[in-house]
Amino acid sequence: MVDSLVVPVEPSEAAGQQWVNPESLVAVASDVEQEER
Amino acid sequence: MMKQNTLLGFALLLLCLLGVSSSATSPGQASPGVRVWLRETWTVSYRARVQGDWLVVEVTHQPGWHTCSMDNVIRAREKSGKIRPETEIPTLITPLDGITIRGGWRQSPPLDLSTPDIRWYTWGFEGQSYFAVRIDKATLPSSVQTYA
Repeated sequence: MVDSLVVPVEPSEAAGQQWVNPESLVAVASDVEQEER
Repeated sequence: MMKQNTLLGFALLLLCLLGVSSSATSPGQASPGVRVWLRETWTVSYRARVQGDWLVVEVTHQPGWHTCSMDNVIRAREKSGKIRPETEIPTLITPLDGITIRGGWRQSPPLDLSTPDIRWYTWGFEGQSYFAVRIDKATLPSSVQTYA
């Protein structure tokens, strides 16, 4: 690993508008999926 | 995290692996988030929050820097046909506090940062990118651990 750090999760009440629509992101390929192809 | 110039990537990766680059601090800057520094240079910053039943991690790269996709090795394996391709280390995010994850991670569509001439295949992010995963809200995390 190159850099490892701990990132605090910001309180949800301070969230305001959402950063991104998670549904718009693409699925991360996994070894399991690769084996199934 | 890696400098954008892929030809320099090998040397920079070596520097990183030697521990020259690792320094995660947030020395009082106005902008929130955890910043990663390479000596005097701010390279990338991370923020995390819960949106509904999603844990979302925002990554902001400074110009000329990138981090890699979570599935970088799998992508490089498919492209190169090698079981152990030479590529960059993928991003790994681990929620702490024993949080329950539901399903797989999602990521911004990664950029193809490959250099086919030297059979160097890698995918990653520049500018702003996101990772997200569904979580059990009964076990909200207070922090996440990232590797990039």
